[in-house]
Amino acid sequence: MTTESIPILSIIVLSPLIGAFLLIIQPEKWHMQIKLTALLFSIVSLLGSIFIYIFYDQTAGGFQFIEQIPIVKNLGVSYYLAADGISITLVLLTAIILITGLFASWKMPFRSKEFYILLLLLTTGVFGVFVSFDLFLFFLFYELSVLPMYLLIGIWGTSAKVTPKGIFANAIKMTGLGSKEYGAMKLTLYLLLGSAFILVGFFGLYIFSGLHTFNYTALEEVTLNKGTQNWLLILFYIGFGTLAGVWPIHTWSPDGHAAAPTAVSMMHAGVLMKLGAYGIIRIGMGLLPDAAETLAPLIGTVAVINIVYGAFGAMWQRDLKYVVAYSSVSHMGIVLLGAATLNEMGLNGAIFQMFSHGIMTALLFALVGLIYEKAHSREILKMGGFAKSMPGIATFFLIGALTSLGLPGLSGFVAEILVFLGAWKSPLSWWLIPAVLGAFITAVYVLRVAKWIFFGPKKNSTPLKDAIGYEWIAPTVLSAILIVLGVYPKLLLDPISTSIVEFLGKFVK
Amino acid sequence: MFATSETLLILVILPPFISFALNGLIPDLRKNKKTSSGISILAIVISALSSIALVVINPDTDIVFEWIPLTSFSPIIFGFFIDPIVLIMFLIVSLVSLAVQVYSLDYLREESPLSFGRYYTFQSLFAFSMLGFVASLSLLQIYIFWELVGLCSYLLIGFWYTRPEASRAAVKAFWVTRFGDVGFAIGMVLLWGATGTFFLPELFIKAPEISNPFLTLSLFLIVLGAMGKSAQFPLHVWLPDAMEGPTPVSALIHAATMVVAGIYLILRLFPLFELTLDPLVFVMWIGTITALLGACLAIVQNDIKRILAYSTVSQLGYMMAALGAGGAGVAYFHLFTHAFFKSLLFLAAGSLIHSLHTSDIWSMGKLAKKTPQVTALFLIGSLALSGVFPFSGHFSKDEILMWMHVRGFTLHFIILLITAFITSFYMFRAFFVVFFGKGESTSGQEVQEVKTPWVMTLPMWILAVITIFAGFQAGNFFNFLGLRLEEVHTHLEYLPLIVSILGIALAWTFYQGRYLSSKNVAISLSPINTALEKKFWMDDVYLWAYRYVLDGLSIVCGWFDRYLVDGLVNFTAYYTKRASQKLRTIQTGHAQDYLYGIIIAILLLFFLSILSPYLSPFLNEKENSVEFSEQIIQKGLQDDDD
Repeated sequence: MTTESIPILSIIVLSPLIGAFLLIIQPEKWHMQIKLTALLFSIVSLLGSIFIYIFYDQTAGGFQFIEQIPIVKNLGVSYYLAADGISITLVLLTAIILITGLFASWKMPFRSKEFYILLLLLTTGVFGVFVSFDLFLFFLFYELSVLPMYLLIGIWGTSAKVTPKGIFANAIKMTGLGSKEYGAMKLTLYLLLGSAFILVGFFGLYIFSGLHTFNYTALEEVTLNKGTQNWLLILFYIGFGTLAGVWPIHTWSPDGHAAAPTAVSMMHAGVLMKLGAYGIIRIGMGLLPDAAETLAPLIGTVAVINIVYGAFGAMWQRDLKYVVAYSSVSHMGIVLLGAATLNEMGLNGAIFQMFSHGIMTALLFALVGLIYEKAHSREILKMGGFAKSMPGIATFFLIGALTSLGLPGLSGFVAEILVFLGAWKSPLSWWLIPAVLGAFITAVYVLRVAKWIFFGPKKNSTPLKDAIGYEWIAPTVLSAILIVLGVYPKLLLDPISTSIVEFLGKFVK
Repeated sequence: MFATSETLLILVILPPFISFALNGLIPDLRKNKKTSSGISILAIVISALSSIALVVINPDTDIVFEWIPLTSFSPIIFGFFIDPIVLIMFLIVSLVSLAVQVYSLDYLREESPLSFGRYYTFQSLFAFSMLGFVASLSLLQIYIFWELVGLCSYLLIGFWYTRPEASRAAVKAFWVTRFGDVGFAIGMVLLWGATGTFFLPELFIKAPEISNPFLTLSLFLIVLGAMGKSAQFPLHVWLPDAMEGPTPVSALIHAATMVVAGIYLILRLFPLFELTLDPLVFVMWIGTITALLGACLAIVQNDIKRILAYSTVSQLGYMMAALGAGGAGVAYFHLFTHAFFKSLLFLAAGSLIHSLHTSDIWSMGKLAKKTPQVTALFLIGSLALSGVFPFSGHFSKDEILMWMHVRGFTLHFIILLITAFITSFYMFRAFFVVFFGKGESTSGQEVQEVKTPWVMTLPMWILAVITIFAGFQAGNFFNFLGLRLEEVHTHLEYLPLIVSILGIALAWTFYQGRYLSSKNVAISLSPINTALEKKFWMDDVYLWAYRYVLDGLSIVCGWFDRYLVDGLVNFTAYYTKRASQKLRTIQTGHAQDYLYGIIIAILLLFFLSILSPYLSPFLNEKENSVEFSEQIIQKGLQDDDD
């Protein structure tokens, strides 16, 4: 049996879905079996992802593992799955975070069955988006990955104590800021509004291309006139940008991530935000190259605002989960800045940053979850001296923090330096300066938080314990990936740059 | 032959990394004092022996590999290489590391096995990063190791992390050096942008083509990085605080090796600096100011480690000044001698602190009788630092001063000469107070015994021997570098030595002979004294910037985000909700109301149909769009037929 004959992408995408259906028919009280089922089907996806990573032919490049079955011929809708270097990277990321997320949320106190069902459904959606090259299918998967979030946060989330101050304090209090219901609703409404833009954009492509197909490769061949391209790209930028946390439509992200349960925060900040950036790069820039060149200055400048503003926003927070959430906003700025440079270094850096930030933020969220479990608090200023009682968690947190500030030897640095180089070679080279300063501000807030929580004398007298047993799995695996990629980035850069070079072929004038 | 120079090069750099990996990954090794320290020391012994072997062979060799693949630009290449400059640094790093690691066996005896293991893990990481930094063949690679040594410094300053001062000092050190690194990073990217390469040999070939203001700008930015790492004014503030770390760490990282990374960087990039002179002039001024400032601040310190820290700042200033004056060779020689005598001083001070559990010089005193050995060692170090013949510091400092004099930088020469005077004054102030003083602050308590086991004294004696003899090797040193030692004979030749001895004499008058009272002088010069004690308010300026600029901006951004951006969102949500509440009252549930609605709608449609001929110009568009959609449907049907 050759590698071509296995529908490997379908296996990856549908395995969580099958897992979810199997969970439905299992009784609620079989806790262990439910967990193991979820884990088993996630492992199938992970193995599939590793398989495509290994068997992707880099010398040939292009889309591989193609599966194409027409669904509605008249409307040009087909079940079209494929993968290139970019997709492979992100599929791998999703699989890793799914598995580590399961371990991070291994102790689900109530309704665990429904939780895993929804989580698996969501993952199917994410996998689907990364490998589907039919816009109709893409949108279907996209919605599938967004909607379960409402329930996941609304039911299993945690509410934080946020005490607004200042002249708008009362008005803010009325909104219910900090509660999980508020976070869930805000996130869902934002993302659905974003999807509306995307849907309009897809119809625009469908009609204005004149091909009446949703097929990505077919649409790639068409060159639309510039005005149309610009409007479509703006639609995609707003639509996908919402999910990518683009300033100023990012405020769903801190509230949503802070309210979500650990596995969901990991999944959402780690993978779903990348889905937005992926959409902008793949659909927006890939199908509308002329507009991408016209609008790159706008996208890049907003990305620079994201980097600096997100970093300062994180500095202001005193709730640990909000800090991590805002740092995601800042780091997504690096992804979009890399994309806006439209050159090899920048785009390589952007995709690498998607992976690296996904792993890093998942690590941090997993650790925040662990700290919350042990100390029952997320308020930074009430913690202190935790390193003595939880040295392991402190070490892993420091690894995450150092990746976040771009320390060499960890994967964040590779991504950042590539984006810096790309920014300098882009038409607006001044982007470099705020981007580098953003890394400095990150160093300030991230190390400050680490110091407040872990170092110094112990603040409260409640006995704390380090992580035990299975709790080590997520931090260990994720940290190891950060270090390995930081030392030897070629592991990922080889497949990524194969596809980026092809991708950039569109922009050569 | 088995031991080719490439193997030796790998044997210098790799063993500490392996030790780090073993200790870091295998908790069982780390949790045992013997294995953790044993592995680490074994690794550094291999490095040291290989370094010595390489110095003897003195080969030219390199190892090159690709790190980041790129197609539209040349890929980013990394590599390690050896030249005489690298070899000398190998020698310094591996020998001082070895001395410090052996010394630490006793110094950290009381630590728990876990933190003992942590210490040696970090020590190995540091040795690897520093050796890697030295031998880097690519600017980006230099930056990588540069940041890694900074990380080790952060981790080791904060080694006793439960102490709030230690964790604060660690973070401060990281932030200040990182601030300088913003400049380094931008400068590096700028150079890459102009030449398309990070690879040093290629960079040097292409550099002359860079247009000048651009090259100057990027070098200025790189100098900013060097200033942060090498604690130059105004980024020197982190180094004195870094003394919160264990003393052996201060000896290794904050005296001998890491802090000279900035000097080494400029030295390495000297071919670029020679192309444009402005950055060098800047470096010379910064170095001179730092030398004087550090020395002045050292006078008023009461903590023995802080005195040494400020003297390090000051001596780094000497090296920078010499570099700026074009004296790369003399700067490097001073770096070489300084590494040994300053780590000797730190280790000697450490053995006192270790036994007495205090670092306040006024709490010590009368130690000369109790521990003649440490007294002798500290004296050797102090004499070398003060520049007294025949100790190594004399030769190297003399070279720098003569270089400034001969090159005609008279003002700098004078300032550095005054600094030399202050240096011997503050150094012997400490010496007299610590070893011959009355122990004024101990409130009558008898000073405890100073324990000096051989694991502590042996490393110190080795450093002391090097300190005594290294000065006479100046000729060999310069030959090894391929330079010629300038024999200068001017009427000023003996001036530095005289100045140093005068400084010692003054210190003796104040603190040993007690012919003058330091307190009276301090009162009569109170404005200067206050300024010195407040460290020229530099820490306050930084604190202000941190509190009001950084935190201020974060408050602005955070507030803007929560109350304006989010406020707008919540406002919209709130009024949507309100509007829907109002609108739903239309649905009253009364049949009559709905009937009214239906009738009104019918009437409206009726009037519209009457008016439609008159409205037709406006409706044209609509008809077109109907046609359009019909076309679409027809086309779809045709496709279906196919």
